[in-house]
Amino acid sequence: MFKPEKIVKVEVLGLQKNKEDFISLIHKFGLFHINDLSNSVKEDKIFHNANQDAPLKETEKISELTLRANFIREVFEKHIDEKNKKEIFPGRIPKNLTLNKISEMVEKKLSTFEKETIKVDQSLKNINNRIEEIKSDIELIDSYKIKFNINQFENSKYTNLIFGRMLKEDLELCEFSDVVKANSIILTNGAGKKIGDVMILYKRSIEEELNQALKQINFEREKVTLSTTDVNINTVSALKDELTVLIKKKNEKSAELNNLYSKYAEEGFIHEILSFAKSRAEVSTNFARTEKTFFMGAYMPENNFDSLNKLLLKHDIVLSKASQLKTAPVILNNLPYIKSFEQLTKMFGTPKYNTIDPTFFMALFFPFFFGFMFSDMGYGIMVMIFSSVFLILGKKSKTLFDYGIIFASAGIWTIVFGLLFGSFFGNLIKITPLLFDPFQKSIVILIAAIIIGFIHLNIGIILSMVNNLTNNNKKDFLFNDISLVLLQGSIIALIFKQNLLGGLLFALTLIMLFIKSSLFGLMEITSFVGMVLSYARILALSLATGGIALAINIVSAKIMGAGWIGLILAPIIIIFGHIFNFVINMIGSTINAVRLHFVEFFTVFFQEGGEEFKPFKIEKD
Amino acid sequence: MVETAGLIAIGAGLAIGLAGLGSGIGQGIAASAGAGATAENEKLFAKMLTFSALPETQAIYGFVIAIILLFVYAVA
Repeated sequence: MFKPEKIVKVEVLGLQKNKEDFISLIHKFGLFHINDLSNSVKEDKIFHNANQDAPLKETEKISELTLRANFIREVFEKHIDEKNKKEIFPGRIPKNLTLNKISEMVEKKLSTFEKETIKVDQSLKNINNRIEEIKSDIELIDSYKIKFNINQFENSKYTNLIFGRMLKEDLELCEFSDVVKANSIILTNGAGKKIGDVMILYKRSIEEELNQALKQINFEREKVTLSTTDVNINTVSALKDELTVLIKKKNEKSAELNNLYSKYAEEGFIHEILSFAKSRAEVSTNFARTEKTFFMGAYMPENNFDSLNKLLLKHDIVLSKASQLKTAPVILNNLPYIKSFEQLTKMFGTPKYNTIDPTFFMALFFPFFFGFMFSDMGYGIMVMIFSSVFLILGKKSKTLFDYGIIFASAGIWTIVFGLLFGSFFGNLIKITPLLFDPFQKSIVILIAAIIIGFIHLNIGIILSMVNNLTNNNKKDFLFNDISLVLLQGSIIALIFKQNLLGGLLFALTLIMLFIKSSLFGLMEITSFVGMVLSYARILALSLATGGIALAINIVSAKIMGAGWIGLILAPIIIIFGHIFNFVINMIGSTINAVRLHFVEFFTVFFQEGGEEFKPFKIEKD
Repeated sequence: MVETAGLIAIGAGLAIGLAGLGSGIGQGIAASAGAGATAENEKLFAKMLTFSALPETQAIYGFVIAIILLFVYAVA
């Protein structure tokens, strides 16, 4: 509970013919954090004639199926309306199926959707392309008032047609020669706009002169085509009719695709199965091989070594322990209730292997600090309601369930402190405090907060001592941990007027800190004092919650006396005021309770930088 | 007496207000840099949170002084 689970490094040697069975077994049990041996093979560190192993032979088929499934998913994502999108929950992954059977199963499911989806997608593409063509044609014909087929004049033997853009004022100022004017038709659109689209139909004989003139006036050419070849006075209305028909067809195809999607969403765990099959098929690329054998390295929990070893021996596979470990991937090993608080620990980082796991202390102190800072029965009940929502949603998500547990514990302590301080939405409902009113005895709470800080930090110092002694860091034990103990001893001695003792201890502290990091080491003293004083925020937040609640109650009481408007406004102020106070101080209490752990508590002992144990296994968390 | 109470109140307000002002400015600068660093590398979240929290100590000092002024000297 106080340290991560004990891990051993193992090596596996077996025959190639047993490799697939071995992979199925380790995938099912999920006990191995696999090492990638490809670099070791390249550097010839395994054994002499070893090569990097290849993926299993089904990999190609699995990859092909994955590509096809991804294509179908992309088609749906492109065309399905946001409001119709469904969350696809993973189905049960079949543990005992071979890769061949999985390929067959997925092939059968994919073939149900693939043909139809591709057909509808192609139809929709064609319809969309034609719609774009029609819209472009209508815009072109309308804006230039075209009544003839322009394509026959473009790039013909005697004529050419060009489109471009230029500033209207440049066109107006441009002086085309009489020859150019006589042998061309210049049409513009964008009446009143600064930049105009220009269409110039001209005879080939004046091409050079026209180009020279256009160069002077910043004419930007554009490539424009008209898909409709037979242009006449009725072309636009015919195109609009065609557009209406196409849009109707598009809607029908979309509805067809939405239907397909609904059926697909029920089978959606195709992607999950393919992902698991792919990881199983490709894992052997981490292995080394010879002609007849395979070799792999991994980390696994020490507790499971013996049972797995017996099982593998039945398949003629040898499992052996490597040497003692200084570092390994980390599995946090906590009881169920405490395990939920690993969410908070991991926010900071994973502890190094063989160092203290602070989750237990997080589970002990976080709800306590939260409750102390929030300290109100009414708000505590609201926190419990909030956490029960998380617990209900947590049936589908472990993360939400964990946060449900965390806030349920925090809610209980909030109610406890609400009782101790006699606070129910401030003084909305008068309750006699079991302890005292915090506004009357703030200094007592300040002193209590500082003492709690001392206790919390000293637990951290003890944990640091355990870490340093376990890992043989005598220097850190002496200069970090013992120096802080001596510093506190000197403060206590001076408080109790034992000046000689206090002075001696302080001098010793200074010497040790100076040896540790010369003058910078002396900053540890102010740093430690700052950390202790930081716990005074417990008082600050406790008073803040109560103070704002009190203010809301006073304002609404005053307004209540203001006639019928007051009778309407007062309940609104009470409800929204307390919701505001709840939200603000819940966020504040959460962040500050977490911060007291991350910044003050963890700084003393926590050694971050551990690698998380990633088991090669079937189910995802 | 009233003058003393008034001066104590002003002193407490200045203590917490000015300390909070400096702390807030410092934390804003540190936190915005921390947010940028975390956006690039999520593993830096814890370190950046620690850096953001460091300037807060001065506000706490101001708060403690305000509390002492209000509840110790005022009572005395």
